[in-house]
Amino acid sequence: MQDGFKTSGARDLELSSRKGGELPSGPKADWWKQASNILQKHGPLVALVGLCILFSLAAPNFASLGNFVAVLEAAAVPAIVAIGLTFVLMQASIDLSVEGVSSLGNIIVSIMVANTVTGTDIGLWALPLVIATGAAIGLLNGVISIYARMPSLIVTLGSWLIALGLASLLFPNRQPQILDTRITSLAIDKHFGVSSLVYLAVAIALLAILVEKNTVFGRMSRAIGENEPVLRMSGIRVNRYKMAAFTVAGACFAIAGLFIAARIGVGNPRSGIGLLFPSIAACVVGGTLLSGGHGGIRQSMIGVLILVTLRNGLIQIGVDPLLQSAVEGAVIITAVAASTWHLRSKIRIIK
Amino acid sequence: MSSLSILSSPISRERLRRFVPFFVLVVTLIVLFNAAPGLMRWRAINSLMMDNAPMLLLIIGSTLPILIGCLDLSVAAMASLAAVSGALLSPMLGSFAGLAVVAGASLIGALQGYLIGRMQIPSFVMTLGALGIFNGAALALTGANMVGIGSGMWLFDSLAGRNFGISNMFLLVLAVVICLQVMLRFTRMGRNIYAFGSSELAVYVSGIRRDLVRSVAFGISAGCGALAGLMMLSQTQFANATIADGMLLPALVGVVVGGTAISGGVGSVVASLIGGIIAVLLRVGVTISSMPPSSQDIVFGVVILVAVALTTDRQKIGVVK
Amino acid sequence: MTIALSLHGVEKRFGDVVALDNVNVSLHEGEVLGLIGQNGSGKSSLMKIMSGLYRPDGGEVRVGGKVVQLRSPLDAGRAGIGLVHQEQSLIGSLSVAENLFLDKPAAYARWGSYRWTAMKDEARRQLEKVELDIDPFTPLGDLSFGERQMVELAKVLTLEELVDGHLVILFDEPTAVLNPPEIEALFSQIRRIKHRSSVVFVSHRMDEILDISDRVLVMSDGRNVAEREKDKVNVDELYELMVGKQRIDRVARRPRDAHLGSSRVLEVENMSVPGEVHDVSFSMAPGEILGVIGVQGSGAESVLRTIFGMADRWSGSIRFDGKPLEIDAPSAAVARGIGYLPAERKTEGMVRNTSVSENAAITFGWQHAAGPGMVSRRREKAPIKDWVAKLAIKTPSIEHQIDLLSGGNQQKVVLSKWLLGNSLKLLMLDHPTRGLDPGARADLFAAIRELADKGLAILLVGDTLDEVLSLSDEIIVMKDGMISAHIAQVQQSPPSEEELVRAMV
Repeated sequence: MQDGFKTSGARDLELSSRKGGELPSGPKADWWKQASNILQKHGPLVALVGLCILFSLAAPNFASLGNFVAVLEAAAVPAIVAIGLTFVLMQASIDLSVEGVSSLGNIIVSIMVANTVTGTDIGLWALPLVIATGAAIGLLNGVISIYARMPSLIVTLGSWLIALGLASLLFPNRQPQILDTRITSLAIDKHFGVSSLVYLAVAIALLAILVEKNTVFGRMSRAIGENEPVLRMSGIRVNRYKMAAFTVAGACFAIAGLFIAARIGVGNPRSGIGLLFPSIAACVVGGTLLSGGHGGIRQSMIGVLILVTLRNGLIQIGVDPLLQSAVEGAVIITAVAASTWHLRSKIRIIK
Repeated sequence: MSSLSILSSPISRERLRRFVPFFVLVVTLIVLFNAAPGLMRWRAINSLMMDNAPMLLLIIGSTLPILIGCLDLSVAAMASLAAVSGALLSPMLGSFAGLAVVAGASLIGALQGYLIGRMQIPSFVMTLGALGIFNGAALALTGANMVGIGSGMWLFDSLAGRNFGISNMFLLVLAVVICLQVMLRFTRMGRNIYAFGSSELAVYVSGIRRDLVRSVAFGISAGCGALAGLMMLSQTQFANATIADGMLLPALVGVVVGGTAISGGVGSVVASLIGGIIAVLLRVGVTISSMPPSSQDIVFGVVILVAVALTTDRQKIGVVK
Repeated sequence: MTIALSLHGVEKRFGDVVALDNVNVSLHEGEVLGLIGQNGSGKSSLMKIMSGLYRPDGGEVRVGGKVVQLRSPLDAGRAGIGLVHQEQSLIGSLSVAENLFLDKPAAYARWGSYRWTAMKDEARRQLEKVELDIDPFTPLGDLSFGERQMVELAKVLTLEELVDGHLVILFDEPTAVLNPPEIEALFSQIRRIKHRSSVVFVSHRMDEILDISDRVLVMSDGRNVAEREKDKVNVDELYELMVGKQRIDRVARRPRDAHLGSSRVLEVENMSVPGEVHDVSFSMAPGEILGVIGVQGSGAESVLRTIFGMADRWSGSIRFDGKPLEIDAPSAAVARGIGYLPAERKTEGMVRNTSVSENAAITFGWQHAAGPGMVSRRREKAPIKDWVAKLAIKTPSIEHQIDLLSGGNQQKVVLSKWLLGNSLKLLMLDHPTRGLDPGARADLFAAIRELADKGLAILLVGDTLDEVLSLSDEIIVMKDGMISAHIAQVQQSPPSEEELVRAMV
């Protein structure tokens, strides 16, 4: 996703008050710049709080503990996917292979631990195996897109299909049911009413935030999305960080597949389908834009919560659940349009 | 001029590229007919074309946004929506339901194209959102059930029939290809579309209205999607909200295999038709061989990577994201 | 006096165009050398060679007397040479500290993870060098332009720790985006660092150069034409030197004014474009050639683009052909009879990977078709070939790809696009002869004159003085977004080149 404009619209406004006199509308421009900045920084959180308040008023059951738990549970899987996507999106690339890799992850877990169909049982070694597989696919994505110089959109489109196909290929004749209770207990056992999956998701998110804020990889990811040529000229090994981002994404998607396996308890080669759209929407709504250089893990998590809350709330107030994807579709369009509104210019090329 | 230098000039490379899909098609046909002589019968070919006409139409329609350098991810969802809308409208409008659906879809597509330019959001985002909206609308309209058409509708019956021994659906596909090819070659809009895909900025400075070009491209892709949906409806007499959903990725594969570059400005609907037929034959090949059906996805995935790698104009992309 | 940096016999060519011709420059330790010159004088190529962005085609660069090969800005950094951009080398989403150490993040990281305290302390030390008292962890995007410029300078000064001895600091038009107090702050920093480094300062503003420099170097036509000590500077002499060769290559003049009537085809009133143009007014008669000239940043190009409907925000009013011109896109301008030849030929002028004929026909080709909305390539052939001949476009055939033609011929094809329709009333040319060889330039000059003779009004932003002097009926000089001089009856009583340069710089 290439945004043809590198300078921010707000900066252009400041630039314009320097030379040759005033803006046609003086103080109004300052206000607009301020508003735009505030909207970008705090908008999503405000939106989340606003949604919660709205739904609490509109639906009696919304503000209950049980519902709160339901929201958290529903958010666990998209959150993991969003974490993986975030680093890639910050770099202004994209990874569409979510559904394929997570389905593959689900299948691998289901056939590698004790199950009703295959004889293999490698126990908890399945976890690193799944993560490694996801990471390997991610690394491959990165390598192909960098060295064959192809847009990440296409490369990950291809690996999406390939991973989905691999998942189908590995699927045995009958649906394998997972017998290893250590896996399934992740979803079933509740601590303080919330399953281990949620705690795991929170832990991974916290780890990701630490990585984002304190490692060179994390800090550089946003910089790469903002101005890659300058970084290359400064001698930074941009390619390494790009490949790292895809690897992390692949690993996260595979973990999401593991979560799904724990939840549904069986192996399903199409279990990941339907994950992509909400996760991208969540990232974008939270502020991790497709154009790169913006957002972060915290923002993406807020975005996930917004989307899950929206879904949950709409059902509570009686909106036809079938319209869900329509609402989400409208939300994603509005969110992206609103976040880039101030950048619009006649000479800007957007494809 | 030595033969090597002929190959290195961009024009000759261009001509080569245009013939490659045709060449690949011939090779695929030969391989396939050797492996399965039963396919060579007219009946088999005809039913193959009829079954896959919707897919071919999707591929053809999707070509236009790609020619201008954009992407329309909502075509398949539009096909589903059109199918269910056609079924639901048919009691009231009879065969005119088909016309209404195609017209409505084209308008919606044109609106998408217009908004992409006005809001300046990537076509990827716009059409992804539209995908969701169409899905939701289709689900809500049908209540997640199947909807059907009664018999005796001229439109749907004739679509399912044949003339001159060729399935009507395939004839319609050919008609659409011819119309679009004529438009692309002989009208002002066609010229503008190709130029837009090559250099959007230069086209803007040359005084061309970009909004119009985008509206036409996305309007046509939506219209073709709707037509494909109606075809599917008349094939099975039933439709549900997700009938065409799995067709998006194979459609993109078909376009790319035909030699149309994702970067825009290069390709044609005829090339996409050939690419589509190759994709269909690939699927057939996978089915009749001993490979498991899931390899289909893998094959498509690899094919898309190779095809795009060969056809993308890298100079144009600059920093590859 | 030791020499910090010197260039000997340096040459730089781009195809046929000579950017630098046998240039010899010496920078003394501890001095500020001001570099001044017009567009195309070679001063920006000179800076790029000194900073390692370009490599010279001939001659050598010496640092402290030793010959060096600067293959990249990193090499230059290692040799102690740093370039302060107009903040193009900073990343807005990173903090000030990270920007300062952008090319050495590993120095403050252990196992891939940053040691923030160490970085913060070191960053504070570096920022002190430029008296910038801000939290090193402020995101760069939160700073003002002036502060960002200081961070750029501080970033260059971090080289001090890596290199023994003096730094050479190059400033490339740093004042373009600064307001007066910020310019003063920058100058006071330069005066402070003079004691431990040597400075080359480029600006197109004469008053700034005279303010800050110890010595002034004048560039013209790719040559170093003069060096003057500050107290020996005669401003008039400098202007004269800047004009250089352009005086000699004057093409024969054309007495035109007899044809100009009092009707106005274009009237621009109080045009302002935020940040670029301020209160510009002028008018044109049919068949008139109005030449606009200014250095980079003068706003001349913006005026043309605003008339063509390409400006996002502007104020003022335009009347075209007697009626108000209220347009918001080039398509509307074209419909009224206005054409525009952009300066950026490759991105805005020509449609790439496409034939000459398609490029020529794109705007007005439809006028030759049989029916509405149609296109007849067969019918377009004759008019296209006609213009190919008239403009002397060298191409094997009109189906040839435009990318394969030379720059001059590409430009002619783009010009022919506007002429194919014979329906234009105003043609605006933005640096039309940039990068063209003399033959193509002459062809273009002749074409422009002929078009004006036929009644087409031509608004021309010129690259060189002789271009506007030999073609124009009236000249407008622009500086910093405003009209600094408006000269009428150019052909009858031509202004001197110095007069023009004085108004430009």
